[in-house]
Amino acid sequence: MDTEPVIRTSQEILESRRSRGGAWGLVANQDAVEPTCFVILALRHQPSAHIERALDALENLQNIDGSWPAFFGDEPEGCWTTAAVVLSLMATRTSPGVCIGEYSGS
Amino acid sequence: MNARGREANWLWSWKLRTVDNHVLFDPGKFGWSWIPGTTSWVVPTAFTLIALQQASERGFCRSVQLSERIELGMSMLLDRMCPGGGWNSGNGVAFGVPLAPHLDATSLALLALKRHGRHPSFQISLQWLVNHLAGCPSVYSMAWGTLAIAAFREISPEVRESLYERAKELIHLTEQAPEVVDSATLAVCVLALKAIAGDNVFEVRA
Repeated sequence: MDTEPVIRTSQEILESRRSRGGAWGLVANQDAVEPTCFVILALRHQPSAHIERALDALENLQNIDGSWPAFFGDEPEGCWTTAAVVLSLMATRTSPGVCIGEYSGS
Repeated sequence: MNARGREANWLWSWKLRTVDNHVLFDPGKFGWSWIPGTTSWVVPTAFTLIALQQASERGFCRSVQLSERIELGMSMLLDRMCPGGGWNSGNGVAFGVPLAPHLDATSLALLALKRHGRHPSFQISLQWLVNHLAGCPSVYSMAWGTLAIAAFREISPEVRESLYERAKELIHLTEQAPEVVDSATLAVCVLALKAIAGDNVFEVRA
């Protein structure tokens, strides 16, 4: 079963939807963590500087307590998207430990 | 890892165990919420369990506390299963009425529960997904369902055959609507199409 053509077309569309801030949104003009994480995962094998920029944008968005908000520019209160970011960082960064916290228990 | 659903709080736990029997679940089994200060839901709990298990597999977290928290989250999912298999958004029963499972929530819960692949609740839920995913018009649900079925293709020839058929449907749905679906949905379609070939980013080891 040849899935490559539809994957390639979809990836090109995703690339074209990147915002000026280097992330992705659910609606226009509102970058959000969930679509940005899923798009990073979908494009992670593509040789693209856009992914690095999106990862940097995500890392800069991390709250002091280690969590992530739902939207860029949102209140600094963590939510479920923290799990999506951890998945994205683990799938793309060679050393994501600094951001996700190399937890050894307390 | 330290976040928890509101039902873990002693007051809510007491209320749910004593005077509030509108929902039937064990408040001692809690997962994760969408936002802080609210009760556990299936989808955020499943995402968090997948992330924590992958982090553990890669050696980022190796504490007893982490293993216990993962098991507690899994027990929440098993506790909230719908009576006939599969998962709704939160509870399996509310106001005495069994709730209908959702394809996306069921798919994510199954991906998170791979370690419990022999559990009867897991088996009946996977069967529910295989039986109900065919013909689904939602590209979002079809993509999540395909991701789950791809992760369990080795379980039986029936699941393998189902993956082949759903893959054809997913390709058709994705080809029809790449310009109109939102970026999160289109990205999940790409991830599901890659999972058909064996690259499943949401899979955890059993």
